[in-house]
Amino acid sequence: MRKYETFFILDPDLSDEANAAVDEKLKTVVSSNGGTLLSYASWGKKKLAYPVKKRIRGHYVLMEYAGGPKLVAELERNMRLDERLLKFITVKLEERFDPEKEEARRGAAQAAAETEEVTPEKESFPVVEQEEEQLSAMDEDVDASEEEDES
Amino acid sequence: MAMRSKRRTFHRRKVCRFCVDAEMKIDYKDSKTLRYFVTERGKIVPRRISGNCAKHQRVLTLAVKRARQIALLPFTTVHTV
Ligand SMILES: [Zn+2]
Repeated sequence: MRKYETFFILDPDLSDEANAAVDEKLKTVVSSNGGTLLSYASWGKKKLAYPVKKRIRGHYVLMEYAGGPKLVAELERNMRLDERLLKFITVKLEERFDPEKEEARRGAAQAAAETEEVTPEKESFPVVEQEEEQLSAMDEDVDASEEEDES
Repeated sequence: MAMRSKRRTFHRRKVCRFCVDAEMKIDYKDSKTLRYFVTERGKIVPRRISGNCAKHQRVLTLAVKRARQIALLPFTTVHTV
């Protein structure tokens, strides 16, 4: 068993029911192929850096699971066929999935979340506003392309 | 701290941000952080400019490439029709 994450983009114009249907379908694929779903979280709607299937916005979802390579193949096959999904990327997080370690991490994350009182968006990025003039000069107009979340 | 050289007016400090701040993780999903390390055209900033160490530059490069795949970062911003 390995630990993977799949980060994918859904059509942003889906109805809530359609979204729920996709969620359900993917979760089923994971469980019926010997996998364990570890997390499934929406990252909200974002502007895409370039158009994908004629769409300029997308609904990002992150899913973590444990399973074998067969599961990944099957999951990706399903995603490729599904019109509601614009794009996906799967990354292997751990070569050997260790449920105990996962449990510990989960506990730690939980504790951290409780102390911080969760921000609804995943905007907890470390904002690094230190100097770096040279770069920011280059990056100045690198825009406000993200952010405008309007879920 | 870092003094400005006469010829190269450009930089001042050359330390790897990821070495300095252990809290700073490199994650392809974190496009906010990655954006500091790409130019406005979307190119990865060379480490001679950004000051990253070789190790972190490698990790960063991979992260930027993944971010491009999932449309969090652009491959380019200039398109000729
Ligand atoms: Zn470093």
